[in-house]
Amino acid sequence: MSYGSTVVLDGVDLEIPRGQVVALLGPNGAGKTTTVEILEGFRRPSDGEVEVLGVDPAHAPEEWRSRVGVVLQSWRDHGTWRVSDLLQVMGSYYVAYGTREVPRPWDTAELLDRVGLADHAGQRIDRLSGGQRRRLDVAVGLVGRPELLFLDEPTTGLDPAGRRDVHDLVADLADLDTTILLTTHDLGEAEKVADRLLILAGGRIVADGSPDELRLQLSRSSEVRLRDLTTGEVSVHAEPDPTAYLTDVLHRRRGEVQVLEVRAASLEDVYLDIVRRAEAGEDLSALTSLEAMTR
Amino acid sequence: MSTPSVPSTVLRAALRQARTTLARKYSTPAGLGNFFVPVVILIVIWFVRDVEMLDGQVGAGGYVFAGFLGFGVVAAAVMGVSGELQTERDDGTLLRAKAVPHGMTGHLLTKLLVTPLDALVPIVPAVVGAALLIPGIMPSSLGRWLLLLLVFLLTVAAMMPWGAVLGSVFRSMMTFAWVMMGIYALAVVSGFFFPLTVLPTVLEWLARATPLYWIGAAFRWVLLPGVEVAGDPPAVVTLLVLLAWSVVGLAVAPVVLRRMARRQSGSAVAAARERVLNRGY
Repeated sequence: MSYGSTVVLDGVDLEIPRGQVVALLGPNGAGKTTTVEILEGFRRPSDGEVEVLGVDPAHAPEEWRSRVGVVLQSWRDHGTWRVSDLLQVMGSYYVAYGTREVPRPWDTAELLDRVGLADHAGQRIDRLSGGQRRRLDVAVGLVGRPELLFLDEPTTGLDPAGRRDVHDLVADLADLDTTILLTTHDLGEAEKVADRLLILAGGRIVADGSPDELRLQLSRSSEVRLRDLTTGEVSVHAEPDPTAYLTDVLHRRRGEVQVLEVRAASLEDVYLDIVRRAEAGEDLSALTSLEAMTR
Repeated sequence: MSTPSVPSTVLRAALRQARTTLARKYSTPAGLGNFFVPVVILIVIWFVRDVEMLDGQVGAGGYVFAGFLGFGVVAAAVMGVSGELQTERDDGTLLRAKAVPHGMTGHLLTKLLVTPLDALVPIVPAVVGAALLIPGIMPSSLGRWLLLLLVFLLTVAAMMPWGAVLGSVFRSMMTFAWVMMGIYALAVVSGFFFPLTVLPTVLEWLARATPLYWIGAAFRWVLLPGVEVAGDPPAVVTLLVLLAWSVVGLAVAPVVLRRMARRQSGSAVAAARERVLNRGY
């Protein structure tokens, strides 16, 4: 796609087509926030090259800022302002970047309606619930109609209702033609809102694909258990291609196999294993793919 | 429809931001707290109005009033600007400004517009009150009123950038609290409320080494014409010193602020949030 946003990360080229919702998933401490901060231009990478929308974010001109929206997890600012105040003031910085096709900023009433805060326009910001506050932050991120929106841990610290609020909102934004990169440590959340998952572990991307693709990829590395009819002995095999293996073994050992069990490695198991190992302080830098986890 | 240029957009945005900041600040109980100090000062002035100072040249009420105006400017710059910078760094205001195009420039422009008004807010009720309590303290001609306004703006310009520098340099809340106490201690010995000459020479020189003393001297010069305050230099010297402080300050502050802004990141804000949750400040 000609509008594609190119993100270079750890030597890996990530071509993210415009409009895609991508989740950067990984255990705490995997480097998600660091990665996003580098992409947002808020932190300089110690080494290497980064390009977002064709520009190095650390030295990006202010014009680049008008094409990128940022939503952070810990904003508590402007508590005494009204909801519409913040959108109007922040929006007014984008006036010079409007075009005939894309008027900027986004009209406040329309945007509030879009994020489900239409009834709260006149409310003090510090009186919003956690989920509403996050909706407002997303609205501020969107007020300049960015091509790319960063959402850092959008649901951290929210109660279940607030989380659902944010999930619904992100799903709602899918038709915006805005590329969204969000970070989370929750696989369920990533699957719910994203078209594509990037799993970050040990400073490297170990998996990249839609949830279905990743499942399929893992199902090929399954665990096969066979119980011998005569000895009662159980043998376990990790198999990249269980169908071929079973065809072969059942053919060769006809009548010898008593019990047969094939277990596909699940994305959940593999991800939880990554999280567990990361939390135990294990060095995951040798990890290159999800399949490697299952062996 | 033509699109407005970038500079005019930033200027309009900053004006709008300043307007909203002021409207929201002075419509909350916390903002109204700014009116508390002038009331206290007026009560003090009421009690000392008949006490004479400087061999009967001036009533203590007049001296304290001039000192209060000077102190008000210092408080607005130090407590106001540097305190706000501390909060804005922690709650993400600065980062939000960084995330919008030219947001940081707009944020600084907003500060330039808001701070003089912040300094003016507690002064207005004090001026009105003093005019009623101390006959003859207020300027009698339009020219002197203008002079008072000019001195006010000059002192704000001399102090505000240094408030911004203090707010950027001292990062932790604890050190910052100590710095504030230091400034207040300095204010006590800077001649706002009693003449410098009653102090030991060392303190006298210390007071003259900061803008604080000169701010007080400038207000005394406008408000107490014809009164000789021992140790106060000629008005020209006072105004030149203040001008020098503002020029140097306005040159240094943007550099320091830019450096601080560059270090702002989401994780810094998140760390501050953690700290507030754990320690309460």
